[in-house]
Amino acid sequence: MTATLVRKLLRDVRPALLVVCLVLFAFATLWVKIAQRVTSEIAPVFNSVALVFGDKNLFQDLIFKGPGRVSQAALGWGDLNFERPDDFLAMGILHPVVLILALVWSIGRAGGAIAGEIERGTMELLLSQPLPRNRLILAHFLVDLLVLPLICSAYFAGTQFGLYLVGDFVPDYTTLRNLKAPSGQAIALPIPDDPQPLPVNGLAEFWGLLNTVALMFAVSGMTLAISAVGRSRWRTVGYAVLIVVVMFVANTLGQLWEPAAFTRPVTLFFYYQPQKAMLQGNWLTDLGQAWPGAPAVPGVAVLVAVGILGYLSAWRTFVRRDLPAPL
Amino acid sequence: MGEPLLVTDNLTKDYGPFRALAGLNLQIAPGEVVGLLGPNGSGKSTALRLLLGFMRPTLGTARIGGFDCWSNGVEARKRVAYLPGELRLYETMTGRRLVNFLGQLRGDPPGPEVDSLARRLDIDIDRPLTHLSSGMKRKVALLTVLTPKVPLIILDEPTNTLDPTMRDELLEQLQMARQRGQAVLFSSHVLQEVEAVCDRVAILRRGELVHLQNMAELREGRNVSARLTGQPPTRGPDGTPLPPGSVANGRLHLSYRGPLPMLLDWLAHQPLADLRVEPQNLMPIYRRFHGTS
Repeated sequence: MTATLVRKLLRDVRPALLVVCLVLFAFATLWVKIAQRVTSEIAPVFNSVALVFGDKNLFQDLIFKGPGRVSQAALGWGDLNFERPDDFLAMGILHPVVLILALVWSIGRAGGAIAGEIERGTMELLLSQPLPRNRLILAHFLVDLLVLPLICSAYFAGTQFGLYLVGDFVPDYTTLRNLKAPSGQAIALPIPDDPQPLPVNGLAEFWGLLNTVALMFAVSGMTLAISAVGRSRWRTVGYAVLIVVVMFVANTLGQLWEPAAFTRPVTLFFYYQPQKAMLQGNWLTDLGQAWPGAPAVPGVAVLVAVGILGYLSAWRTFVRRDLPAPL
Repeated sequence: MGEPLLVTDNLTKDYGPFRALAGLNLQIAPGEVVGLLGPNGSGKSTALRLLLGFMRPTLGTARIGGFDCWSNGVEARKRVAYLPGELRLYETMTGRRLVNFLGQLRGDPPGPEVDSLARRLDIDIDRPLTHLSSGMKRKVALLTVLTPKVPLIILDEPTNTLDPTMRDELLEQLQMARQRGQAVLFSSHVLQEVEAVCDRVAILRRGELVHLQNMAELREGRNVSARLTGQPPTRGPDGTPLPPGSVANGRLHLSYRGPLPMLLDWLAHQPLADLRVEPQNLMPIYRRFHGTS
């Protein structure tokens, strides 16, 4: 019975799933190319010029000033270094395209899971069968367990494919070597004679994407909990989007403005730090940043716990509620 | 009536301050066809939805096959096939896939009888539902209801959007279900179709069961209407005095319940100018509770 439901739910999401996976795969592949170009072509040029001025961080500081700092905080790029390929690859997981796709998927699917089914009137068709209501929640849970890792795997596969296509990240100083002063003389810049390939560990992205799976699961669980009380898909989606946006803004504001930092731990985005897992193998999120004296907690575990709580809440609500007539 | 298959005991549902169903007491035996009659808002659909376990009763209980429809709804629904009034199907599925899907959920995948039933209902079950008209979709939905071998079929206004031929086919299918020993509970606005198939009819008004009519008793009765040319009778076919008002202005109006030969013999001795003998129907009873609607 549950397997039948899971198969049906998977069949329902198949077209959208294919599109999301393809977009993420393509984006990840493209991001590798961007990473290669920035880290091995653009960054060496900036670094060489910056070294002339004696300030290695000249350009990074310039980029992340004013509005740049806001976007840096919003996207969690604060600790990342544009010159390192792995850091740049980690930025891909934090990129708005990936975040928005992940959130839209989670909210859209979970929003339609119960409220949408009631709104369409097909819930009556399902529940007039000898189907325990908790099986429907279980089926959605299993679909999340299958689909969310699949979506992130598409991104991972895209990165691996991109790395295969672009090859080594060898710093390219051709532009600098060809630079000439107006007098026609070559400019003396600190350019290595034999640049070595930059270290790239694309496989480490796997750990970062686990964090993405956890975030998607948390949002999905939270949305399902809302869906279980509602009867309109779009109203459910609206509430879920509102909550996510408020969390995102609170987390960003908390990074930029110290007095608001205390709000960050109640947002999901505070625990979404794939770059730390990917680059440092650090799974802990330091609550002490926002709540002095509080311990570090495993961010992924918090996100998974939120997802599970959402599912439990949805289950508890759905098995007790009246099923209204379709709108 | 044998051991009841369905029993409701003081079944009540409130929506906030509004009482949608008030203390429904109803029993249905295996193989019995029962109609729920009443205008919109009379509580028919609420009653059916409570039986399906879609809602928790405010008061009272409903049991199917001995299982409480809310607290043990899965066991109760194993014994029920349901056709909703507001029909919504999975539009991307074909009829066959839908029937198979629901059968698998029921743990009883349908057999080859689906095809013969589909032929009878004149539907192509291999077309996606989105390509079908509303009437065809309703036929597919009927297929999903008639296929499972369950003791009780519940239909909420099943003839909506069906053409007259298919309505007759449906009513015939319900008769066949009764012959197989399946009980049927269905709601309707259409008195004729209720009269055609039901063993009993429950009339609801503003959430209350106001009348339960045994159709066999009703069918035994006849309405006699005649114009008289001579001395009017003072006693009826069974020899009892005619009720006051039976004869007025040279016309005879009589409700008779008894053997037909006795009536015909009695009529043969009356001074008749013309005569109409009709089986009794639900309309006067329905009008008693719902005016002329």
